[in-house]
Amino acid sequence: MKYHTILLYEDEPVVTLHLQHELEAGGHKVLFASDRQEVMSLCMKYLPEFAIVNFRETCSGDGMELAKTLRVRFFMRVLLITGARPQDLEESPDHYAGQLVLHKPCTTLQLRQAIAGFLS
Amino acid sequence: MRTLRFIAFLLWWWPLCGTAQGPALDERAARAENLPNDTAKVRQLFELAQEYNLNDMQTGHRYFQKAYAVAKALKAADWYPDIELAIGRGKANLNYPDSALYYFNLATEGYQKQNRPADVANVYTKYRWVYNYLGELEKANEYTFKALEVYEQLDDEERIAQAYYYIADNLYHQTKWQEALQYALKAYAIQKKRKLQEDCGATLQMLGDISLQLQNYEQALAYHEEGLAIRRQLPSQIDIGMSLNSKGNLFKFMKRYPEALLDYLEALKIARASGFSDFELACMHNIGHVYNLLGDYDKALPYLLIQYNLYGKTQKRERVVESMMLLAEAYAGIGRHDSAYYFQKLHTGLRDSILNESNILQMSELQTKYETAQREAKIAVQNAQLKRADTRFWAVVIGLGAALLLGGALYRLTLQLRKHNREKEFLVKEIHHRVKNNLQVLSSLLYLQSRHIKDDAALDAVREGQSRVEAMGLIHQKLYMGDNLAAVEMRDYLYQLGDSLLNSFGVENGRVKIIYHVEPMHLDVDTAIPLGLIINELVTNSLKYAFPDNRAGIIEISLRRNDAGKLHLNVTDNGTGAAATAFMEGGTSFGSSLVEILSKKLGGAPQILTTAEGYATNIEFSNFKLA
Repeated sequence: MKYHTILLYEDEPVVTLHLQHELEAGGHKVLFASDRQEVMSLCMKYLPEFAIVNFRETCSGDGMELAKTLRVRFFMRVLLITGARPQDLEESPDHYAGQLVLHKPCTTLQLRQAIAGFLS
Repeated sequence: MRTLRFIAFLLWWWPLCGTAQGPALDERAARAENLPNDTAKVRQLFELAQEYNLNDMQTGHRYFQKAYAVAKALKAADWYPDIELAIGRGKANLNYPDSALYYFNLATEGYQKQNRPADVANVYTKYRWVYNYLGELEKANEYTFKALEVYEQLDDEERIAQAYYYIADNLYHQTKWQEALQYALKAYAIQKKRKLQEDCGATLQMLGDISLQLQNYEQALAYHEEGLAIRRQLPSQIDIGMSLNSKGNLFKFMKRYPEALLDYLEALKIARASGFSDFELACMHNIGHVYNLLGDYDKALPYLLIQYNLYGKTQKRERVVESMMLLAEAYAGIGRHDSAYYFQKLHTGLRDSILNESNILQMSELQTKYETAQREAKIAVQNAQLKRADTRFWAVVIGLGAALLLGGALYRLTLQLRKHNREKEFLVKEIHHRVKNNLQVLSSLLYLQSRHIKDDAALDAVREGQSRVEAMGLIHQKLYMGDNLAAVEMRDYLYQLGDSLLNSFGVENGRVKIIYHVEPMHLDVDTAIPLGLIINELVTNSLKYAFPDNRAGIIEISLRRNDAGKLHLNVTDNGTGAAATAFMEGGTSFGSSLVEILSKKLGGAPQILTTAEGYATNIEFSNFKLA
């Protein structure tokens, strides 16, 4: 089992905690960012391989932009968590290699499956 | 008729400035013609023409043309309009009305160039003569009033009186005797006040003629005698002749034939002396007629034969017809009935011919009028069609305009509606987003809570709570995947629900399997949520109680519409049967209550059966909604 450093950028604290538990239960190291600047700062400092990013529909796809940046600059894989419907997304995440989407609300099983698939 | 009019107009226009005529005048003319070409020659020729014209129109006209030729050669434009007017008058007198109009047009242009309005108005009065002669009385009137307007602007009382006279003359020819009388009296009042003798002579003659038509013979005679008396004091013999002829006509009407004869004979003498052939013929005709009336046929015949032959040469058939009739009367009077018959026959033939022509002409005119009326009717129809087309065109234009306005308004409304829709869509999305987030938070909270509970019962309760939340959450997840926000695809939903439950109970290596018999169907969210919770409870119950001690087993979920149109749910397991016991005896009283309550909401009641191979729950829902 390989352990990864995973950057977590989720604006909902309860969900963040849930994710933290799940990830740490798998032995992974979790980095927390509260804004985009901190995301970039942590990435430059720790070079995490993965990021889980909240993709907020209401912020006009800022998560998507961030995912692109992380992909291009740090070659990271990004798991986007979103409450938006697929048809409402401005861009389809499938167009970007290394990007996965998990739709809220998800079951614990779906979350685990997504993380497992994401980290594999 | 035209000739009579022509004679009548001559009564007025005859220039009166000349005096003597004869060898002295011819000598002057010979001298003038030998002069070198210059404006002095033009003047002399012009003056000579005027003098000749007093009593010899042909010669006078010839000299006017000579003067015009010299003026043209000298390019003496100042002379053009005066000479053109004089030539035009000559042409009119010699029965060339079209030529007369041509020269009057030239004269008008010339006077206008020289800014001589009085002379322009004078030419207008000459147009009047010609149009009167041509029988175009309306045009004659038009030009007379144009002339009067100019004279009034110039405040030229003498010319104003002339214009009144012309208007009276026009009215006379239109047989409006009373109106003619009024204008003639107005003219005469001015002329008499200003002692315009020549004009008074002419106007008095007209007053006499009008009074004759009004059958006021004594008044007519008074006018004629007064006019003749004035004219006898003036040099123009022709004017005297005209007055005499008019007075003779009056006497003839008054049956005072000897007096009429005297006047006619004197007039004939003057006509012969002046070379005024038309007038001469008219006089002979009148004399012959009076002799006939007197019964003196022998005397009548020479006059009538001469004028008959001369009229025959002039092609004036109306006069010829009258002559034939008079000749027939005269020959009959002297007993020469063969000649009388001959002329009567000629008269009848020519009269019939004229009548026929007249009839043909009338027919032609009627046909022309008919065709014109038809054309006018056709034009009216076409105009009406055009008007309708026009109306249609404007209706279309207005319609299009209205449609454009309406379209514009609808477009604006559409834009506004789209904006409202976008705002609403945004709000709906935002609400859904928050609902899903909140469900996620709730699920995560319960998960996190469960990690800190040591008591098994409490842990079970929290995990079941999380399971229920996840069951609802899955519904929302599925709900927003499709285009229809109120529809849930049940088969996929149940697969995921089952997997989630198996995971939450830590079922590993496929020890317990769930088999699905689910018809493809989309249920409304109001049906899908309670149904999902019911299945969640039933499957949870089986997983908790049916397969103890890591026992393997199968849970089957069947959801379909039966023949009665109801939604039929069947959840079975092949476990120990303890699930049924637990469910019926309130192993988890909340779970069974929940199933009952939710089933009732969907119009169903759970039937729990224990079998040799486990347990089964059957529920038929009647109150459900397909999406």
